[in-house]
Formats: sequence, structure tokens, C-alpha cells
Amino acid sequence: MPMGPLPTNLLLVPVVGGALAAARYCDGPGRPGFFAVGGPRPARWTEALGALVAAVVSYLWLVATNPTPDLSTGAFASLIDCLVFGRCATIGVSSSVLLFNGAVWPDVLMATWDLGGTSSAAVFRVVFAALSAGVGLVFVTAWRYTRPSAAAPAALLALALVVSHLRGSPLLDTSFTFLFSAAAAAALLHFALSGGSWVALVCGALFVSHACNTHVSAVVLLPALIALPALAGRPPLVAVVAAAACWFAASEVTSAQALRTNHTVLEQAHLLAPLAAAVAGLLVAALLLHRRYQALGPPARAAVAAAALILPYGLGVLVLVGIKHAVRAEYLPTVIAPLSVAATALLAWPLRRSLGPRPGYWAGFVAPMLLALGILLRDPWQPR
Amino acid sequence: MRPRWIVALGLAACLALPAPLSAQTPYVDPMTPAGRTSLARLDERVRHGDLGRDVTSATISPLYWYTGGAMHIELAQRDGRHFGYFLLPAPRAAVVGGRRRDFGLFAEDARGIPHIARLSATLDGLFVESPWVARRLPTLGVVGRPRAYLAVYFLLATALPGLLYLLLARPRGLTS
Repeated sequence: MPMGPLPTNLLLVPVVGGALAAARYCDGPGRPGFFAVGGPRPARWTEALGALVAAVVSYLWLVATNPTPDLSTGAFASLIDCLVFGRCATIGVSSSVLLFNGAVWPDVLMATWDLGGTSSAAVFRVVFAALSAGVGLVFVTAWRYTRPSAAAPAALLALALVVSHLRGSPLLDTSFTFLFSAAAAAALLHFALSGGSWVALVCGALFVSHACNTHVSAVVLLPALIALPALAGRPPLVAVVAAAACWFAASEVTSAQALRTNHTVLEQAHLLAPLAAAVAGLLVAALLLHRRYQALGPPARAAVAAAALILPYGLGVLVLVGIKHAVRAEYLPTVIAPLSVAATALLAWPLRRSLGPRPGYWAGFVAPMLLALGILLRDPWQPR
Repeated sequence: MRPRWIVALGLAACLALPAPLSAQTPYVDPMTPAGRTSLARLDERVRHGDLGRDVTSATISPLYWYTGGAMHIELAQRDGRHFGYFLLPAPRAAVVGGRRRDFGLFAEDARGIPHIARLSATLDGLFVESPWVARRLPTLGVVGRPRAYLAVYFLLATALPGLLYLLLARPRGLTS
């Protein structure tokens, strides 16, 4: 049953309080940098339990606030075509910005259907579960790659951004990109920090492909897929080729028709040459900076990786503004994961630095949690 | 088990899927010979004005929409209103879509008499107003669950081990 604004807002008290308590519990001595990677860590089971709690709380929150699904959207047209009319295609709906979506979203719906989820309610629960799993992944990423005490605040901020984007466009294919983009960001961050793990690179490339073929807004992850292998790969050029090959192969399997159609569309719009030049420029710049990157410490490398994952989104927003296209909340999921982790680290830094390593050090995380609270309270959920 | 082996096993499971699975793919290329034959038949019927009592004219326009090249046909009724679009799923039946969830269905019986029915397709089921059409939908080849296809398994075989890897992998060299 949908809940009114008041009970929903009251639910914020245990959620925010729990996140703050988790931050305090997990805090330990360490350097107060933006990305203070490393340092002593609580037991491993605490991390797993924390991620599980973050995911479950997110799921319950999303179910409790219960947005009414918008069935009139074309996001479900492919599934209806495939299930009802037997016309399945390796291409999704056309986007409003030239390119066509891939077929991952219809495939996800199809997998849901094949596993027994044969109603719209089941499909929406799967989307909720994917969004919640993404929040859990943000918890793990923040825990592992910044500091454990940042995990709960980062997860709360991610949940706030997820809820915020759902207000704009409930349960579209764009929502589902959150899980894949969060996984891609985690894998690429792992690759950038761990001295070039090939498995992490393959995972990153696969998840970037899945995200891009769920909704084209995730193409903002492609610059990171080019730059980070060139910066952190050993050898860099082989890593770039491997990442590109994995991305292409995965896209070919899931969304071959979209790949070809988008190539044709870009060719007809005379955009292939400028895009190739931009990719080549980015690649050369990253290769030239390879040695400098290798000399950096983990926190600086994490900052570079975060910039590579977040800045292209800003560029994408500028492009949309430039072509007078609406900048919609539904495009946000692509960047929610790295943005939550980076914003948590960034907002907590001044207070944590001024407090120093003493009791109460964890209080620096009040700032990002206030931001999350502000986003959640900005527009109390109104059941549609 | 080390995380990298989990990913390797997942990918191997994906690659080891039985070959017939890919042959069962229901993906339809609208530009196949069968698709072109279907469209040519309907094109003939449209040209001869044989589309039922309520329809006076029709315009065929191939649109690269979400089906990636399905044929849509805009119809005009006697009162001048536009009826919708035809989408051709089978040689002897066509689906009319005014809005994306609200379709009409065109089919002909054994005597060649056309039947047009309003049809709503949602995730929760297919609702047809015409009993004649509803009874014959399966034989018309319009309704039918597609069989499992490779891309879904690929998606699961890559996404699940990948997520598991991210949960299990321990970053090295980060103890600053």
C-alpha cells in the first residue's frame, strides 16, 4: 500500500541514523584525503553484512514509496513485441539523441519473464532489486576503495539520487543502467588501483557494454574505458585493445543490430570522423600520461579514475544543452555510483581534516549525509 | 575459489551453451525474403482496397522504429480519421498500432473476409475485443512465446559472475 509523505519522511530517521552509526562504527585512524585508500579495516564479514543491509534497506525503501509504473512508455514496447507478437530484435527503442538503444533492456525483461516474472509487478520488483543491488555495490566500492566509514554515507547518497531520478522518470530502461554502470565503475576503479588486473578490465568492458546497450546515456562511460586502460594497463596499448575488443564482442552478442544502425546513423550525420579524432586524441593523451600515472599513489589514482568516470557526464550534459535538448533526471543513473563515492569523500574532507584523527573524526560524514537527506526531503514522495 | 576463476567459469558456461540454442533465436530480420513476401502480399491487398469496410486508404512507410525496420502502414477511415499503423507479424495477419499499447488486429478468414479487432497488449496479457480474432490468434501465428535465446544467457553469464567478482576481488597494493 502506498505510503503518504509523513510516514515516509519518518522512515528517514532510522535510515540516516543507521548510516551515521555505521560510519562511526567503521571509522578508524587514517589520512583525511579525498580518497584515503587503505588503512586498517574491520572484518570482512562486516563489509558483506553492510552491503547486504544497504541493499535490503534500499529495496524496502523503494517498495514502500511504491512509484506507480508508467506503462505507456515505449521502454516496454520491445518486450511486448517479442512476447506477444514474436518479433524480437537486437535493437531497442530509438533515443531522442540520434542513437538507438541496444537490446539489453528487452533481454533483461525477457530473462525476468523466463524466470517466472510474468507480470508487470514482477518486472518492477526486478528493477527495484537491480537499483538496490547497485546501492549495495556503491557501499562495497566506497568501503574498499576509500575507507569503510565512507561506505554507509555513500550508499545513502546513492539511494537519495536513485529516488531523485525515479521521481523524474519511474522505472524506465535508464533506471536499469544504474546497476551496470555502478558495476562498470567499480571494475574500472579496481583495475585503475590494483595495478592492472585483467579480469577487472574484462568485467569493466562487459559492464560498460551492457550499460551502453541498456540505454545510450551510458556512452559517457566510454571515455573512462579508453583512458583508464591506457593509464593503468601494463602494457597500456594491449589493455586498450583488450577493453575495446571485449566491449565490441559483448555489444555484438547482445545488440548487433543497434551497433550497425548506430554506425550508419553516425556516418549519415558526418560524426564518425570527429568521434574517431576525439577517441584518438584521448588515447594519445592517456598514453603520454601513462608513466606519470604509474608514479602516483593510490589516493591520487582513485581521484583520476573518479574524474575519468564523472567528467564525461558533465560533458554530455553540456552537449545536450548545446543542442537544446532537455537534461532529464533519467540520465543520472549512469553517474550515480562514482558521483556518490566521490561526493562523499569530497564533502567529508574539510571537516575530517579540521577534526584530525581523534574521537569524533567520523563526524565529517555528517556533511554528505545532510546532502542525501536534503535530496530525499526536497520533494516528499507523492504516490502517483 | 579465486574470483578470476569464477569469471572464467561463467564465461566458459556461456560459450559452452549448446549450439542449437543460437539456431532457436526468434530474432526476426524484417528484410528477410519471408518478411518481404508478407509485405508484398499486404501491399497488393492495400492497392486493391481490400482492407475491410471501415478503411478507405492506406499508406505504407517503412519506419526504423523499435523493431528495427518493421513495416508500418498508416490507414485512413471513411470519416477521415487516421486509424493507426499496421505491423506485420505473419503472412495472413497484421497488427494495427495507433498507440504503442493499443493495437488493432487485421486478419482474414478462409473466405478472404477481413476482420479488424481492437487489441491491447500489456505486460500483464493480451486483451482482444473480437471473439473471432481471439479464438484464432494462435493459429494466426500472432501470439506465441519466443524460445530462449542466446543474448539472455550471455547477459546472465557475464553479469552474474562479474558482479560476484566485484564482491570477492580484493584490491592489491592499496595499504597506504
